[in-house]
Amino acid sequence: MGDVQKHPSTPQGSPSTPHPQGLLSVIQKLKGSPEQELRIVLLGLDNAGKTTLLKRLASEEVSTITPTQGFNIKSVHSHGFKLNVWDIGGQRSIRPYWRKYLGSTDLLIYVIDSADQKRFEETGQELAELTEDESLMGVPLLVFANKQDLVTAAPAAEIAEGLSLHTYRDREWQIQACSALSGEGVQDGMNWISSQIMNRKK
Amino acid sequence: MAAEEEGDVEWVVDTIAGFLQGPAWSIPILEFMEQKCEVFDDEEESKLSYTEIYKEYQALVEKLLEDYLKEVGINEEKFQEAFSSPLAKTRTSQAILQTVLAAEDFRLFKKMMVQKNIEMQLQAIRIIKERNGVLPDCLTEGSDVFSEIEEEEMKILREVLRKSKEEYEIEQERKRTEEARGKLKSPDVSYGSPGDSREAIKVKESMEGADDSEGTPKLPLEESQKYAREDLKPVRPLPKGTESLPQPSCTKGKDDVKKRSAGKCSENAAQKAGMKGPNLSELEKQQLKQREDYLKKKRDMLMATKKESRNNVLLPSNSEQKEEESSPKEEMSEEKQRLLQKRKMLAEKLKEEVINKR
Ligand SMILES: Nc1nc2c(ncn2[C@@H]2O[C@H](COP(=O)(O)OP(=O)(O)O)[C@@H](O)[C@H]2O)c(=O)[nH]1
Ligand SMILES: [Mg+2]
Repeated sequence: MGDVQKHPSTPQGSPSTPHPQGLLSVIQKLKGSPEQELRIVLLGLDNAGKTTLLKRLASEEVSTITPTQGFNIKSVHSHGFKLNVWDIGGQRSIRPYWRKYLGSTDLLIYVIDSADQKRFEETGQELAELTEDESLMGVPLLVFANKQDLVTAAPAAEIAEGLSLHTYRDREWQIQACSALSGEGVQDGMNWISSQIMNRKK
Repeated sequence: MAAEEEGDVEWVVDTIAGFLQGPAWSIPILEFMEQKCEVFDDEEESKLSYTEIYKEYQALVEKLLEDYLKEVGINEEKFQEAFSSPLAKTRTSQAILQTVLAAEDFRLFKKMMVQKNIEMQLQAIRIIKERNGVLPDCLTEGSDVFSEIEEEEMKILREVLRKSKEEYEIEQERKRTEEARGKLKSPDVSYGSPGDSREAIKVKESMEGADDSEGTPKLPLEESQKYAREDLKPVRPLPKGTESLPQPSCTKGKDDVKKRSAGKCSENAAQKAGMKGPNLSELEKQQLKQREDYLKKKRDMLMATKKESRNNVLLPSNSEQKEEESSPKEEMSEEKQRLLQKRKMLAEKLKEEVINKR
């Protein structure tokens, strides 16, 4: 198996077109809560710490997390918004499914295991491909350089370099060092997200 | 002029609200849910396969709405206008809109599907119980042994279910057409067929997880028979008239007491639905009523057909029957007992689920 192969043609279908559903979106406004909802997709290689981060965001216990075979969704309330965060499994076999979840995304969070140097190239590749996806055009990107609590963790700046983040010019992006396990840095990332949302509102 | 517009908006909202409560909407929606709910379990993590099903659901909802709007001549603009007006909120309810909202809210959709799955399992158990409700002896402690007669009964029942499925579906089809034309209530016919119930039991199997695979292919009805017996052990056959209510929640008095403010073990469906607060009670009442009707019908049908086939004795043994689980007389192995225990716990959990979520 070639290591850097392109996505195999995905199980069925084109990159999900954000469903037009004019009809439904109107009815949706009749939903109970007045809070505005946003869709955030949380991606990254397996073992990067996505699910841990998700649970951290939702203030849940992070000590008993098992590898994700499917996906998780949680809502996080922040600055008067309801952020629906989708954490999708990152194993290679699942990655072809990622793009089914990209439609109507307001913001992308990409999580990297900063101590897993061996896979920096792989993760950079995946990110590059993702950001080429039509549904994510112009969508702000937050990269979490996770697992900073480990001594072997590369600093965020180094990772940014490795990912060539500076070449991403078609969108706002930010890299944030953090430890999903301890929670450090996570709030800073969320603050950036909020600022993005606010900006977009204007 | 403003008044006229308002009247227009009102008409649009009411028309659509009516549509969403009628069979032309609820039958296909319920059918979809029944057909697809099998894979939805109550795990926090969602399976990738849910997403496909969700997309199908979105497509269905949109198609039904669009077709209807076309049919009654409401264009999209009018629709938008009507449903953006404050009237839309006051003249509809979350209960009415739930199945629509689920098309835009994955978690709501998942919740509905999980609930439907559980419901169908309970229905199946219920039906089995009703069939055998007059057999209190077989509800004895820890017993997992069928008498030969009981086993014969189960064979017959399975055969009946299989055979009557076709007839039943034809009947459903007929009623559906009738109902679609006529009154706007009770899409009870869509509560599936006996086949559906069996499907639901399969789910239970899959929900029990991998360690349930000691290599013995399970016979769905027999499985749930055991399950039901265990589960419903303390129950005596219910008095006529209440027995086909959908929820076996009365079987465990203590759960009920915990969960009901009244603490009364009444099988009043409406009352139960009411507990959840005003938001869902309307829809739930309707749903419970539908299920009740459905179960009544199904029971009557089974009663009749079963009598008939008992006289016909020799049944074609289909392949499934050969897969039947081992000899009924054998002592229960430890493993079997453990399995049974697990099932019992699952049953408890299911009941709790449904009671909680209703
Ligand atoms: N040391 C450390 N371990 C972490 C951190 N975040 C996640 N992990 C661990 O990394 C493993 C994979 O985490 P998980 O959230 O399942 O990753 P996912 O596959 O991206 O969802 C788990 O053992 C986590 O406990 C972190 O910030 N620091
Ligand atoms: Mg995970």
